[in-house]
Amino acid sequence: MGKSRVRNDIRKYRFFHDEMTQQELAKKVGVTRQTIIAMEKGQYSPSLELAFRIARVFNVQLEEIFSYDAEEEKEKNQ
Amino acid sequence: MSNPENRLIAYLASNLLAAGAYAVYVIQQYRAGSFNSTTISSDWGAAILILIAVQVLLSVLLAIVVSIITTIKTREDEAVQTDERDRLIELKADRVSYTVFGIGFLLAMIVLAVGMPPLVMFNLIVFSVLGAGIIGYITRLYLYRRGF
Repeated sequence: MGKSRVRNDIRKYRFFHDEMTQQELAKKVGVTRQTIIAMEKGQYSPSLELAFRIARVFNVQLEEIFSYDAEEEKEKNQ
Repeated sequence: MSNPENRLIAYLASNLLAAGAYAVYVIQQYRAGSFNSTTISSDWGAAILILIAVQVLLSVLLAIVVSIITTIKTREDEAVQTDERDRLIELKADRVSYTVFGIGFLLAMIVLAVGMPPLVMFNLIVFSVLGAGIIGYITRLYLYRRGF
């Protein structure tokens, strides 16, 4: 539970795409608005398929929007 | 509050109402001394069937009303009903529900094994089903708000 370790810049990319609304993005990638909200808040890690669909909407590579926070994992392993 | 959350609250309310109504019926029967019987009369079966019918009707009605009110209020397009996150939440909540029912069923068998009246066992199973439904909806609401 809690924050997801997969970080994203969906909010930033929405802003740079004429302030695309969460509802518009949700419709384009085939999910509910609540899922977009949860992802932006870092409460939900999307599936690989959904991540690719989002990247495709913004016409960028997956890694430009999504990143993995490995720091926490490193701390755990130490 | 979003439309799915409101719908969940409607289902939760109908489950709580059904459980409450059934609890009242059980208390009445207990006071009438039905629990001393060593058999389960057909009245109990009829009561459960009525309970199921009322609960289904109530759930559908409440869900429709809540859906209409939320759509008017938020003007949100409901084209996508469920997505991957909804399905994950559902799976996790179902797991919790099964656990609750499992514990209730185990208790019911223990009650039967120690020689308590069969009606106690029967009602423990019924309340396990109702409780599992209620806790399942609460889990869904929690996961919707908290995320995972």
